[in-house]
Amino acid sequence: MHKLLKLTLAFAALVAGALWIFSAPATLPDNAVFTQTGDVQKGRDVFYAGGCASCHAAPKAQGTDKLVLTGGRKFPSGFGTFYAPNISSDVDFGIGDWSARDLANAMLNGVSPDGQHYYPAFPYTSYSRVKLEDIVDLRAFLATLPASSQANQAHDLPLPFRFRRALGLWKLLYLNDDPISGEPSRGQYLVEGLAHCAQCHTSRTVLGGLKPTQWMSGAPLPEGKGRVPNITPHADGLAQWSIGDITEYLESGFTPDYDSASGVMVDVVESTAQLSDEDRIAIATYLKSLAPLPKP
Amino acid sequence: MKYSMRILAVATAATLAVSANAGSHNLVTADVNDPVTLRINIMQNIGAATGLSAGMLKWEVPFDPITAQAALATINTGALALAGLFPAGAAENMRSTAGPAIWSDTAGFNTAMAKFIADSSAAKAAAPGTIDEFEAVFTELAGNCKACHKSYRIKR
Repeated sequence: MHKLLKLTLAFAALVAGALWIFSAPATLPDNAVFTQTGDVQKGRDVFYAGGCASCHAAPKAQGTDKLVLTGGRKFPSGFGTFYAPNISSDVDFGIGDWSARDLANAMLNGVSPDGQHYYPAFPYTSYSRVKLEDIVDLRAFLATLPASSQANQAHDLPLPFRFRRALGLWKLLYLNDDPISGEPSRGQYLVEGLAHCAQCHTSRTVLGGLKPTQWMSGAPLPEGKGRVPNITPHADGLAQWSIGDITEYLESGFTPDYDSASGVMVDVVESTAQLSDEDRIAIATYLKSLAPLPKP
Repeated sequence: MKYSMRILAVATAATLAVSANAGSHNLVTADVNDPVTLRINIMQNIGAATGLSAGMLKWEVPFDPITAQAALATINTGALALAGLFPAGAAENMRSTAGPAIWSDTAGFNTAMAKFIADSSAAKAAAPGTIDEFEAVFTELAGNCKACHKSYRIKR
């Protein structure tokens, strides 16, 4: 009996050790690209393609206030309530002291400068596909935006989810930079990476990971009633929409019936309206190339 | 010539409106006892007038001041009619895309509705005679769609 207990303890220690190793936050090696000076104008396009302001501006910000990335927006979920952090250029309260490599570690690996896992409410499972050059340009653009001395609000999570290290195991399941579906193209790069469309338009597993088998076919709203629409070219989704219709929607927010965008998509369109026509057409073309799936 | 242009504009507008309604919207029979059916029809009519207005601004439909003013009047009629059609308890209708915030944040919703009425009344009163005047008035008015739908409308 005594022997069995010893054996059990040894096994448990082994498993715990393995889990600890597998859950370690991974960071990027040094790369020459991080020493380059980012292009502010290109960084602006990355900023709008990524829709950073949709989550990181103050909850009711309008107009130029949307460029003050003060944080505070609430994201209720099945795992607790997350609050968007301050990513303004403030050195103490925002990310003003971050290097391009810090930003790349955050966006590609979901890891903070002090080596902590971020919760995937921050859509790094999409941003993992973003090119390093784009992140260097984004770093340069973010530095031109106003500083805010708003302190971050702590996430409101039940006890088991406060243990960030466990996210390392979650990442083994759900974090990679593989292409997902559709034509490899600028449109695929934008949709699967920067624009992170799937984060709302794809259903999730019980563990909160995206389901590739239901890619872009719509999902329940995380909060309250209603659904996020199916944006595959299925009869439930965008089958009746031309590439021109989608392009127009991403610029003006009007559907072919002159209904308008609603909910969070209003913020998204305020970003996509800032993209070039070519990028909006690329997004629309990619969406029309997806496998048509019924809404789940 | 001007008259035939107007006929053309109205005919094109009618085609646009019909094709808009034949799209993803299903036609819903208006039932005076069911505010949801009235709202759906009013919203579709606002959409048709918005589509006609946008068509003129994109030069897909010839600009005509009387047609433009009729579109603005249609939107204004919709705004005036909608305001009284969100009684408490109508939230649970599965056909309705009215957001629960209409009833949990009634003050905010009423403010948004009052702005839609004020802006559409002002647009009608402005009676724009040129496409530039129309564009200024319409752009201001069209901002009401997303402003209200952002907080007070859901998708199903």
